Amino acid sequence: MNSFSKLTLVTENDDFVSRVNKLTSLSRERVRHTFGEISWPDKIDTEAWWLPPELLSVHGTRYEQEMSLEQKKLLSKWECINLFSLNVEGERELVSRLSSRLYQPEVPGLENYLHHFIDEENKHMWFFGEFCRRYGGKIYSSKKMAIAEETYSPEMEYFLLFARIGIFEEIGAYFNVAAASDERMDPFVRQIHQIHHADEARHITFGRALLAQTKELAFASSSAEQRDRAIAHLQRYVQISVEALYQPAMYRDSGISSGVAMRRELLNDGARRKLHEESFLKRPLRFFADLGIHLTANPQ
Amino acid sequence: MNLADPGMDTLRQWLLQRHPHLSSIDDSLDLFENKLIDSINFVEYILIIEELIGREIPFANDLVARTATLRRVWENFLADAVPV
Ligand SMILES: [Fe+2]
Ligand SMILES: [Fe+2]
Repeated sequence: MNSFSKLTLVTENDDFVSRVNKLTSLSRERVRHTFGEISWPDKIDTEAWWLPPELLSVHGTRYEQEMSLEQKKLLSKWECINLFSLNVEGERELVSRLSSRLYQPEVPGLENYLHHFIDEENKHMWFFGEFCRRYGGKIYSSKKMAIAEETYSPEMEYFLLFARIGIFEEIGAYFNVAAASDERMDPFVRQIHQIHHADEARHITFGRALLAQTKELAFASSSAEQRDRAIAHLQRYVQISVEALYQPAMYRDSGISSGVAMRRELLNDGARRKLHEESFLKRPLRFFADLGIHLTANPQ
Repeated sequence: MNLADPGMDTLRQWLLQRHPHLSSIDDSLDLFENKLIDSINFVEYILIIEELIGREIPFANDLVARTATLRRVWENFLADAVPV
């Protein structure tokens, strides 16, 4: 990033600054000593729901009809491990990218809050990673990888970083909220969702406020070609995030043989495509549309 | 020279389906430089290789380099995989 970035302008907006200060105080008041607070059960019952059945990736499809209750409960275990693995992956990237921008002169001086953001995500990554290892014996990999080098203005790069974080966190929050309030769920897994969401609600508020502040700066600093590329980048990020929910290894671990073929079929299933749009992508896509960035839930 | 192997055929078919303007794919063609694979279908590409070798491929920074051509996929993954 060059030192002429206009991003520092956001700290001149009093309203924005006071909202961030409020979030900082909330993080301090509600600080949790997560590492000592969680008492890990020896095992989690495979007869319990590890995820509400309506959140399973087969919900609304022929697989849901064909699977027995036991199979669906087993799948809910591996879908839970996949969700938590995605959190580990996403939070690892978030912590590393946010940390690398701390105290850099060309980005807004939001360190007071960002230290809490990073602190909270570091704790989440710990309990999600620990959960996956203890009860799944592994952490799945989504194979998310940057293939081509993309360059943007410093303002756009900063905006895209928080836009990706926002999409990631809002999808996660949808699952957290639904699972945390579901009484059919295993109580310990529910508790993990509750603990996570208590922090995530603040992160999402922060992210939305920051994106609203930086969108115009990012777009004004970019050519029409760069703006189109940035939107295409976010569209790809949405697609990769959706597709990551259909991890073939979790189907195989649940005793269903053809992982990749099943993933492909589910991703093309009309009921699933409708669900992407109407459930976990509904809020984030509406937020971006309000900013003038129109993203779709499903590729054509 | 392209290797005769069912796993390699699966990957060739998958690539050709996505790029109907091509009639064949050389084992030494760089799939990323030639934009045959982007960040979205990279995931499925690796998932197919996983299924061919019957094990999960862990995240690693050199994964792109190790799968850039079909020949490299063969050398790094398929050659010593037990058929499943
Ligand atoms: Fe988190
Ligand atoms: Fe978060």
